[in-house]
Amino acid sequence: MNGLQVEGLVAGYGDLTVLRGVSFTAGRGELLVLAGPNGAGKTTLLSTVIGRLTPSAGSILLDGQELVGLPIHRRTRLGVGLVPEGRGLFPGLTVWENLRVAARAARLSRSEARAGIERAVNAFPVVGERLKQKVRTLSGGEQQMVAIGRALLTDPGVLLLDEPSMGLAPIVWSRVLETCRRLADEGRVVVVVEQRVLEALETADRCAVLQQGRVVRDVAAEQGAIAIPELAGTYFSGEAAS
Amino acid sequence: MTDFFQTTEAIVTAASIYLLVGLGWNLVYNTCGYLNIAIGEFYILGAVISWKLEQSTSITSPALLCLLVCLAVGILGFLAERVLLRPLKGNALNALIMTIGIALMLLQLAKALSPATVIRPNLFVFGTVRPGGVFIEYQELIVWGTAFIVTVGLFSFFSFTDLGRTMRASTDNRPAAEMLGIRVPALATMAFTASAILAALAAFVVAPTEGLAYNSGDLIAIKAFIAVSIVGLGRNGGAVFGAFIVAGTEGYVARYWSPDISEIVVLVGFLGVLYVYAVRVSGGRLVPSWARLRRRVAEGVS
Repeated sequence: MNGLQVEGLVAGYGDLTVLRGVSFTAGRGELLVLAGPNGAGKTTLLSTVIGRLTPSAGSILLDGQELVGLPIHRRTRLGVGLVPEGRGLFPGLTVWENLRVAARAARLSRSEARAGIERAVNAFPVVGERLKQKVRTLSGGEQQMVAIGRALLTDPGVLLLDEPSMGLAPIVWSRVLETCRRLADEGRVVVVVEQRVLEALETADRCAVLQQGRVVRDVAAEQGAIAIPELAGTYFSGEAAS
Repeated sequence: MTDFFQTTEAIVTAASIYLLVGLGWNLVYNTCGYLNIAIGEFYILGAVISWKLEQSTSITSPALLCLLVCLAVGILGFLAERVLLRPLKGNALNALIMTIGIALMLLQLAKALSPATVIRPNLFVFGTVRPGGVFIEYQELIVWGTAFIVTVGLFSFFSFTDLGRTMRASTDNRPAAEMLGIRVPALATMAFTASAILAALAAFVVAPTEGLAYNSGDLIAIKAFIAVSIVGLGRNGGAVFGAFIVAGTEGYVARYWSPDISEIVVLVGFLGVLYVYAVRVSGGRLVPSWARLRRRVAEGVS
């Protein structure tokens, strides 16, 4: 299958098992929203896919190729891009330096790095305008663009975003969602872990709900959040249920 | 006036040493996130190993000696970080305590290698220049040049190379660096080793001019720490400024007031700087409350 296929993933921190057999698939061109209450294992799942955590069981296939056992830089080169929670930028470095550091971490050659930075600038012109500026001087929205641009350096087939709405004004958040939609429409798998699920579902194709380390529901986004009892009951509290 | 310039010349030499050792402090602090208390011992080992090599071998080439000294101290620094510090997984307090232990071990090594008296390796090159009647030894010019080249080199390394930028990034946001797959512990080993070599290099170039005792490294390390702390620990640009402030205060006080109190003045000045920082961080006032109360009482009385 083309796209991302996660099967029976078990992972955690030391003796603490957080993911207890997570399985889901996301095809090329699909935007998947991953929802669930705090502690469900959403960030742990992304950390395992990118290679920060080693699973004790299960498999992660990207276009049919097994990722488990590969170091982070190999996964990045194979086409997994991550925008971590809090954006994971280096505030004391310029935008260009942030991109260079990421390119070096992915072991890109000089020409590949140049092409990657060009790709990021083409995707987000604001990144090109701010290349010489320190990241700490950028607005939250601009920082998010830099973070996504950085993940695009290797032209990833799979883009993982962890809480991309954090600290963003509603209008900026909707622009980020439009960007995610566009990136998915270009043929990528886009997986968004998000607290503000209602807005995300408007642009997503599917929504998977993670609870206690398992995917308990996987439905088309147009069915709406209200149709997902796990979300309505435990996640949105009064907002969606009302 | 010649006397003033002669004093200034000695100050530039001292500042060069504080700068070299201070950059070592910054390097470890910036990359590893803790203070390397053993830097004074790495410093003194630069002189001791150089002297020992001169005494026990027929090597006379300063370039070869420099290479061997850097290699020997580099290996010690590498082993100390890799074997003793890396297992602590970046815990700053544990690492700080461990560096005290490393300092004690290295001090014993320096003691075993050198006699109880001051050691003084041979000058690399004999002779002086006398601009305007001020005596400057060629060896001192080597000290100045070393400090200049290392400072510019480090600045260029951190600004213009991918490895330097990666080291800055891993200090700036370690979890993010790890998430990108950057091997932060390997960078810490490199930084610690480089800081040990920097300190050793400082002693290697300055020991022939003034001689050093095996237990004199800590005082230099403290003064270098003061130099890099005045503007803010970790700022290499500030280290240049701080090195000249410390060396200048020490040198001019010793020449025009009393050599006995020059170090006391520097240390008291540093306490003042620490006080200002502490007050600023805590959001308090520079003048203590009892002093303000006394002033108000005095104003009320008058």
